[in-house]
Amino acid sequence: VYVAEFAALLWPFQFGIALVLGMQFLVHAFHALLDKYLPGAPPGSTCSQAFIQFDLTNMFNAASQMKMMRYRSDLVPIFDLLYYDANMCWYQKLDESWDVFPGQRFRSGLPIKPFPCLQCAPPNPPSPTQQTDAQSSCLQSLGQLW
Amino acid sequence: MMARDLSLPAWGHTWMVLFPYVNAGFAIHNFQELGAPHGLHLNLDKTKKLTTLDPEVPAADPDLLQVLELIKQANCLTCGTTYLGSPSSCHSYVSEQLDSAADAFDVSCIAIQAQLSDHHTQLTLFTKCLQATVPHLLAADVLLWAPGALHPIDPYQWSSLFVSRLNASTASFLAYITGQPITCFNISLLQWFLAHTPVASGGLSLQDFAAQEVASFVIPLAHSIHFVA
Repeated sequence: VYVAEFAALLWPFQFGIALVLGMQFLVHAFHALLDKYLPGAPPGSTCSQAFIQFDLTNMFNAASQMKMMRYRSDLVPIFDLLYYDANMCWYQKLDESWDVFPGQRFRSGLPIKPFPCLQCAPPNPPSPTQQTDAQSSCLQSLGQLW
Repeated sequence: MMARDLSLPAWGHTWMVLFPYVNAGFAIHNFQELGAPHGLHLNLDKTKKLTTLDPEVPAADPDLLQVLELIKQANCLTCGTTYLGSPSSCHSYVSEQLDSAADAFDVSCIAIQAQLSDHHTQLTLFTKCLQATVPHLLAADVLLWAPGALHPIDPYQWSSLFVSRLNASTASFLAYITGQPITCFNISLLQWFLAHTPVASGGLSLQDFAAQEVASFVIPLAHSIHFVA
């Protein structure tokens, strides 16, 4: 439903969404740069460069999901879909009864989170208490919407 | 930022940047300073530095000492790293990572058989979840073994230790799901073909790693050429 809208917002900086092995070209590019610049690589490589693998604290969870939904109210149906029953994973136990995997409804790796996050990232990471409050508030609001 | 050649973004909060030695420390310091007002904070426990692919050939440079002070000693990589799930480095490191992946595949395959009882659920988990954990590693396997492979390579029948182990696990799973004893289960070419045929065509829709391996390497490589040329 949202393919065209996501494509307009993410292009040309996102390659891996909705494409099998879409990010693999980055791995090849990385291999080529390793061979070109690092010691221990094939002859002809130089030794004056270093790779830094940056890692950010979990920006997506730090951002207020209420603000995300206010900014992108048209995405609320998708949030609903991903955070509630449609995302439950069922399995059959040995006694032939069925159960769900606990805690699997919340998708911290939600692929569409980055771009709403960019609009409402807080200046400082929230404390664990603030984060829990924000999540509870968000879930409560979602429950009302549902 | 002073990324001289190429910045390789990955999933939202992790990415790789190539810096001249002299700029590496400066980049980390400035990222922290400039990113904070926008809610972007570096996780120095997970930020890593890769300067060599051979532990016997360390990259000794005074400018790197500045970086060493900022990140954890354990994150100063000397024999390779895993980027976007694919191991990248010397032969031994990549080989070790692929062995680990094949071990994990075996363990999960046995767990599906031992801990669940419904064959339909088992088959669904095997094809949709377990087999889906492998394709991003196929290109690394090709890159590892292609230089020593016998040419011409058959693009539809790649052979390597990694693929052989995956196929052995798949064959044992097929034996289990069809009620055959694993020890004397000798799968024919026709049975193998049928198991890898799409469900819509009457098969089980298993992935044939030997058939897709070369394509998994060549197609993304073609996409990447203009980034590294």
